[in-house]
Order: sequence, then structure tokens, then C-alpha cells
Amino acid sequence: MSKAEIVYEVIKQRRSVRSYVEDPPPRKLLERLVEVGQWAPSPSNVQSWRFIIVHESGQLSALKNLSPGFPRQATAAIVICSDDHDTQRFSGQMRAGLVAEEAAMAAQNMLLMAHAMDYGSCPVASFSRAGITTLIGLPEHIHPVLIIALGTPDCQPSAPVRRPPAEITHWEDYQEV
Amino acid sequence: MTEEELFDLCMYIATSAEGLKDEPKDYGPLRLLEILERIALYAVKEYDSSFLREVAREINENKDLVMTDSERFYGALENLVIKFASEARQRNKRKEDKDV
Repeated sequence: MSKAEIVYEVIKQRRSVRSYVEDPPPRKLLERLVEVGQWAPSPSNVQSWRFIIVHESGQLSALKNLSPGFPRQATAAIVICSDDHDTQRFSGQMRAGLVAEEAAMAAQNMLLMAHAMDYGSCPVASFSRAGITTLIGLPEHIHPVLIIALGTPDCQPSAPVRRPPAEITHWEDYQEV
Repeated sequence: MTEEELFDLCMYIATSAEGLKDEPKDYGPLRLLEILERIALYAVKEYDSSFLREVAREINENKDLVMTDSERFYGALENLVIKFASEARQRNKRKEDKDV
């Protein structure tokens, strides 16, 4: 398979996995995911991301209770955070957008890599910002943005419905369909 | 249910309540079902209830439909309520028969 075909397949086969078996991902995988996260595009190369890996059972259990969207059987989590100190050159909507964009691009790299390594993952946005900040001891200038749930998948979820590309693609200017 | 399990559940309920102010409306039923599933799973550790075990299984099987097929999600939710009603009817009948 060509590089393009491999990337295409990994992208199209990845799913948000919400059901896992009890088999925690090895430390090496978690480290590799942070590494690929860090290789995502970074606006102005600010690299404001910070990655908190949570896999010890007590801490993970509390994280799950503070994150209603987190799959209960997942065996590890990576909390993607952003450091205000790195984004202070920006302001307003651009700053808020940058924080979300960096986290999202890092997350996508990590989700694809996890899938390519036969692990399941699920991005989680439903969590208590204040609760997670307290649990993992973040200082005032670091904020949780997104959490990635990880583990060995129990099954491969079926593909969700996607709109046909023609319905969401416009050439040169926007035309109501 | 141990104090630790109860603490976990209470933390989950408090967090869910906080999150629901900004989350989609459909997440309200989802969170309640997740709480019910957890209570059912705690309960079957202490009581031999095939009914609650089945309830937990059904919730686990159907709850993620909220993300992809809300019609089926609400259909499954209605079936769950019917299941409870039917169980309640049978229990009441058994009680009545006993009292006679």
C-alpha cells in the first residue's frame, strides 16, 4: 500500500471507541501518543499544549467521575491542556481559537496513531473544567481543553453516517444547495 | 454499596449536573441512564436481581445511540420504561396473590 492509501485507511477506519476490555495500554504507547501529538501543526509554533497522562486506578476513577462523557471501561486518559504563558502574544477570539485548534490537531494525531497501533480512543469534551483542574493539580495558567480516553477496544464500532461530500463542499464561493 | 462507591456516584452526579447546563438536551436522558446503569450494577452485587442486571445490560447496549440515532435511543428508553412498568405490575400481582 502507498503512504497515501495507508493514511486514508487509518483515517477512515478510526472510530470513537466507547467499549473496552481490561487491558491497559503500555507506557510506551502513551509516550508515543504524546510524541505524535506534539508533531501536530502549532499556530506560530506556540506549542502551548501540555499532556497529563492518567493511568493509575484511583486517579483514573476520579477522572471518570468528573468526566461524564468518558467511557467507563477505558484504562488510561491523556488530558490535553493549554498553557496561558505560551499564548499571551495573542488576544481575543484568536487566542481562544488557537487554544482549541492546537488541542484538536494534537488530539487527531493521537487518535489516528492509537488506532494504527490497534488501540481504541475517544475524545472527550464533557468534563468539569474546574474538577479536572483540581484533580490533576493544574496551576492557574494551565487549563484542560480536551481529554482522550484510551484502551484496548472491546469491538470495532460501526461507521457513523457522514453527509455526502457534495452536500458540504462548495467551489470558489458558497451556494445554498 | 460501599461508601467509596457511593462517593464515586455522587461525584459523577454532581459533575453531570454541572455539565448539563451547556451540553445538548439529549445528554440529560443519557446521564440519567448512565446513573441508573451504575446503580443497577452496584445493586446486583448485593441483591440477586436478574431484572436489574438486564436493565444495566440494555442501557449499556443502547446508550451510545444518542450520538448516532436518537430515534432508536428514545425507542430503547421507552422500552426500558415499559420493562419497569411490566415488572412493577408482576410484582404487585405477586404481592396481591400473597395477601389473598
